[in-house]
Amino acid sequence: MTEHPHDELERAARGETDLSAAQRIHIDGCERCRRELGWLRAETRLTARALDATDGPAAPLWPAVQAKLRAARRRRWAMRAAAGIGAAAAAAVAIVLVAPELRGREAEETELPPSSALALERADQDYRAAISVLEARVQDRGGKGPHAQARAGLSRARSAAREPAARVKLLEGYAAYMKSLRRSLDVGDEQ
Amino acid sequence: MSDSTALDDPALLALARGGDAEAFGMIFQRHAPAVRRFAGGVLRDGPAADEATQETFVRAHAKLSALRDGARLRGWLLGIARIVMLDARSQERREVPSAEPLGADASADEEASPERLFLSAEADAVLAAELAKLSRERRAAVILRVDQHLSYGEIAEAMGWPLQKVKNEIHRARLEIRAALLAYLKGNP
Repeated sequence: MTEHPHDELERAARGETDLSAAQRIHIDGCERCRRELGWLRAETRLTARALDATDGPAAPLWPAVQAKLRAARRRRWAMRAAAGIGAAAAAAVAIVLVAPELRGREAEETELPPSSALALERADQDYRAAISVLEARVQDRGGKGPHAQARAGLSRARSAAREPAARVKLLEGYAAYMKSLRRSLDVGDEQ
Repeated sequence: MSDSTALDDPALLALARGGDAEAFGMIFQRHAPAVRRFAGGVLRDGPAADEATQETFVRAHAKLSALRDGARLRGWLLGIARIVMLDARSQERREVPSAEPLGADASADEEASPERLFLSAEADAVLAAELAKLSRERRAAVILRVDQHLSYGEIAEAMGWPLQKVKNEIHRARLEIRAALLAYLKGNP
């Protein structure tokens, strides 16, 4: 144990009591540590009271955040397409941008601009991560049945999706699957 | 998905990155109080702190894909809040070099009992005044340590500072604050 353990004293000042027996013995027997603990307690409490005076509720800020997100989404759609940031925006942009490129072409390998290819890849990863979370929650509630079929279908589609058009279709499939998972969780809540 | 409160930060982050608006709302509900408290302490201006909190979450929403470790979500959001406040820069105070008060006044330290500070409204005012005198960046670092309980490593990430600078800045701020509180105790036996 470090002599005069400052990190442990800070935790003790905050009321976190998971100190080891050796730490407690040292603090109880060390005048310097006891005095430092007194100062840290004062600092913690007075700082908390000072911040209480400048604090304010956060919940009322949510509607304004939502409004700003809607406005930002409208303004930044083109920038998100170039940067490939965010699964929802990337997927929407991928569908909008990539699909017109393929219109009228043969369904064979088509080269995409790097930004669109990156957007597709990012969207694929993020959708699959989100689906894993939802599936785990459905499973916790004993969900079964149609989801297993949808999952198997998406897995097969993912293995087969080489062309951009097929990958865009796959993203649409992910979005629909997520919707059905959420619906079954909502139904479970109502029961 | 009404019981999203049971989801941990990594799970909420994964859902939000997948476009789940309700999950992002839960991230706001869970972490906005800490962000607002941090902004209020640094800016000391209610409307500015409200604006900074809103802007923090708007920027965070645009950058969700950049954070891959959901366990770091709170520190990451506080780091964005710090940048938002830097960008606002409404009443930046120039840094004043620290004095060396404790070394010069060690005998007072032996006698003063900090426990008396808990009971005094005047002590509250002394500490609040000392916090206000700190530069905005130093005040932010102190708040992240003393009130938000971030580790020095997390503070280094949030502030964009080397680890040693974090420790030095917080130590200097503590020296200044304690000197003022000691002076108060000596003047009010």
